[in-house]
Amino acid sequence: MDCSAFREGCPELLAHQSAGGEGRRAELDAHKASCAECAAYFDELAQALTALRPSARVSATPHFKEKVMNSIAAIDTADAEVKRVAHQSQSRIWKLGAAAAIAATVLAGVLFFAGRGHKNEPGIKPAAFTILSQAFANEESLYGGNEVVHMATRIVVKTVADPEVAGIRWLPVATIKASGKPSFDQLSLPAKPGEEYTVREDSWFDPVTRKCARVITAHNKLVFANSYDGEAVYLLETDAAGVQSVTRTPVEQGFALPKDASSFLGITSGYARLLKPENQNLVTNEGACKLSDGSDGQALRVGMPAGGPSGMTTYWVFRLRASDGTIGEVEWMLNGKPLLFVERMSLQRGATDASWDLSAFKARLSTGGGDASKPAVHSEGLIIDASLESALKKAEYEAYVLAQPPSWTSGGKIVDVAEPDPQHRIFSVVYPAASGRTVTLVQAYTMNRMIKERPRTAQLVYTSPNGCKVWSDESYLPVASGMLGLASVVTHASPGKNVSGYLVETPSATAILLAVNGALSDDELKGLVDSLVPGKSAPSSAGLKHGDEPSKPTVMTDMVKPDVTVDAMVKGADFETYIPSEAPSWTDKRVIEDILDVASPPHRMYGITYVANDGRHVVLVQSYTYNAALGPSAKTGTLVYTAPNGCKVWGSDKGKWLAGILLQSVSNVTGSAPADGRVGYLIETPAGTFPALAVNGALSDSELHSIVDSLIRAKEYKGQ
Amino acid sequence: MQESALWSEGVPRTREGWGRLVDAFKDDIVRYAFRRVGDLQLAEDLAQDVFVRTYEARGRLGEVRNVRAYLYKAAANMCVDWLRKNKHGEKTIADGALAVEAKGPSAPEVTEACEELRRIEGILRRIPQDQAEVLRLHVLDELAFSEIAEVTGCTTATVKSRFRYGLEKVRRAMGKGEEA
Repeated sequence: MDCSAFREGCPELLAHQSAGGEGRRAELDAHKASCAECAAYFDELAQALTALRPSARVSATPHFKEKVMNSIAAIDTADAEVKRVAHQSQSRIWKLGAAAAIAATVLAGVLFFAGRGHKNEPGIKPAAFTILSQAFANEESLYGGNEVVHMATRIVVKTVADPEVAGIRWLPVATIKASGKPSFDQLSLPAKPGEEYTVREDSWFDPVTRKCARVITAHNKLVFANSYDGEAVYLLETDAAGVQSVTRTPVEQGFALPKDASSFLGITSGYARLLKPENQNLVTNEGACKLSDGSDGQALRVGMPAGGPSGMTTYWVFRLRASDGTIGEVEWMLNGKPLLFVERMSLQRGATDASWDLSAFKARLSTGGGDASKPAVHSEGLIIDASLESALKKAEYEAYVLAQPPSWTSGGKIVDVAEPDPQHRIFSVVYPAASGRTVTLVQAYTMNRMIKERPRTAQLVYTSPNGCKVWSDESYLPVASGMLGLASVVTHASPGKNVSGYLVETPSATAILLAVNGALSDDELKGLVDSLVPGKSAPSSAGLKHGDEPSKPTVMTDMVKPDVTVDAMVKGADFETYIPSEAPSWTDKRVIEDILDVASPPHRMYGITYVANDGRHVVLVQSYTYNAALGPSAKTGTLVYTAPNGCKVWGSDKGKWLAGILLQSVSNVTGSAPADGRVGYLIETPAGTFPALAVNGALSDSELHSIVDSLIRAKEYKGQ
Repeated sequence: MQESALWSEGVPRTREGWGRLVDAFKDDIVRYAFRRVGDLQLAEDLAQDVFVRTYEARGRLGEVRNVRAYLYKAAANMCVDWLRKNKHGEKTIADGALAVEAKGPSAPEVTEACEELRRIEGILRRIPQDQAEVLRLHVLDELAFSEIAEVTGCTTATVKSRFRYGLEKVRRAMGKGEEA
């Protein structure tokens, strides 16, 4: 080491910080020992350093730490509130995902009970199907003999915590028409989360004359009534004002009731087609059980395909009475928890209280007005595109809307959702934008606390002439993102990474979370806030839907219309429908089914099925619910193809599961169960809809491309 | 527990962990702020803000390798902000230290500490500012060269160089003083 290197290393010696470790230090020490000049240089530096060292220092006072920790505790309290709000929004997103999953399984269910086949799962014992078949036969025998039978059934709408799940429950209802053929309708059974109520069903059947009657009541009010008196069919109808009447329609020539009365009356109504042979492997024997009255029984589980989004699993449990082998109870389960419980309460032979023309119920018909036809127990967990009036009515605070939609959006829709505490509602106005820069205003009872509890880092960025104050803070961004997730039920798009979020304090001391899916200029922010007005005084330029929501529970008619025309599909759908301009080359028959979209009634869903000789059937299903609930999830998958017509094909690990549901639902058309090699995709059309495509077998790239390339708007279809 | 060990476990996950962190560094940060603003009460307020803001930013501290240096840098910024807002001249800020005068009634140890700082500043004012600041951070704040590098934004080699040349100048200044 030379003198220059030693002097450069002096700081290390002085500070006892040698980067080269002991070896380096030894070298420096050795040079210092051998070079008097350098040793003197080092001593001078050491003296200078000593001169700079203070002989006295200050320290923090004894209470310093306490003050710091108190401040930290205050931050924790504030953070907890921010996290709580963010958690609520995240929780909301999860619940919406759950709602989508429920919608998917419910769709599968309605198709299932409308008489479609189902996939054969491996490892399930067909013997259970035989037991169930015998139970149905026993049910049928209950309507035999020569005496009038009166059967009373109790439907318990079970307590469910989740508002989305609570709001979409239903049961199939078979309605006898003048033709004698039953139509499958939907009895909606919504409830508030945490609420339980009972619906009663009474059925009468005369085995000799084959007269029948069926009446469903909720809270002593008629919900459904349908009968046949030997000459005409009678049907309870409820108009928009809640006024009820009974219509009489003489039967048509050739009228004949279904042979099996249990297919349209009583506890097994609507389930009869479960007995189709292709369903046999759906049924599993759960073994001995106790019925709710304590009697012995046997449980049979009828399962829906597992593996859907959010891991939702739904199935039905039929509990058979050991004494007579009939079906004593039916329970609809979701992830192991009951949604609905159906139980036969009584069976009376020789009944004399039948009213074949429903005249005995005339005194109970609602005359409308008030809440006569709207049991107070019913509400909906999630209402997409609610009317301004109905949403304002539910809000317990002054809710604001924009006097006119933002210039870059296409109008607004109100999403009315229950808060986690279901007695309160979230009032959300969503303004979708073609550019993706969705604007949403979210107001909620609990959100109003955000004004008083805003973080100390929040900055007042604008005070509008209308008295609204705009607060900005980083903590609002995750909440904004969550609220844009809620808006996706309207926009069909997930929040981007760059969202804008502000808290608007209104003159009514309420809070509005203003979220934009993208950047927002200062002028745009001011423009939005300046145009805020109380919803009750919103001008027509606000562009929001008006009117009241329909009553619940209700019976939605025409659950399934088999084999409709393309024109009927175009007219019936409230979204843009697509159809292949040419049938896939390997198919030779097309059937279009028009089905009630039970997750979003009265919307309809359409299944276009092409039957193939080689078993590779093709099915294209389009629905409002798919567009709203499944569409946004499509983009989380893989884009596998973009067609010249603008259609994009998205694949995911759920494709096969979805294909199973679609193919099982059309197995009555195709005559075959879903194949192991089936494939499924979601298609994103230029119209922003998301048809689901399934093929019952392997599909080459060129075959997939040919199907998607041929998709055209159904209204432009020229064929038959 | 060694300070480095305390932080090698990462950002504390419990409030107790943050309590230990405050214990470990409170004197350093208060002392640093004190020599920048010259008022112990104010220095504690600023130091409190340093800890609180660091706590608020704890979610982003995963990337911070040397939290002690991070705290010093935060304290430096806090002091500079305060000095600017309170219209202390650029020269004072550039000097790296105020003319230290304890404000109001002070405990004897504070008065003594002020005297010491005044004496040291009297020396450091006679050498270039960048070298004086390195010496302050090392001598008064007891930062390692690598930590000084992080606080000042220069390399460790530069820090060592400024340290040596600074000491040379201090020595010469002291010699002149002795001659005088």
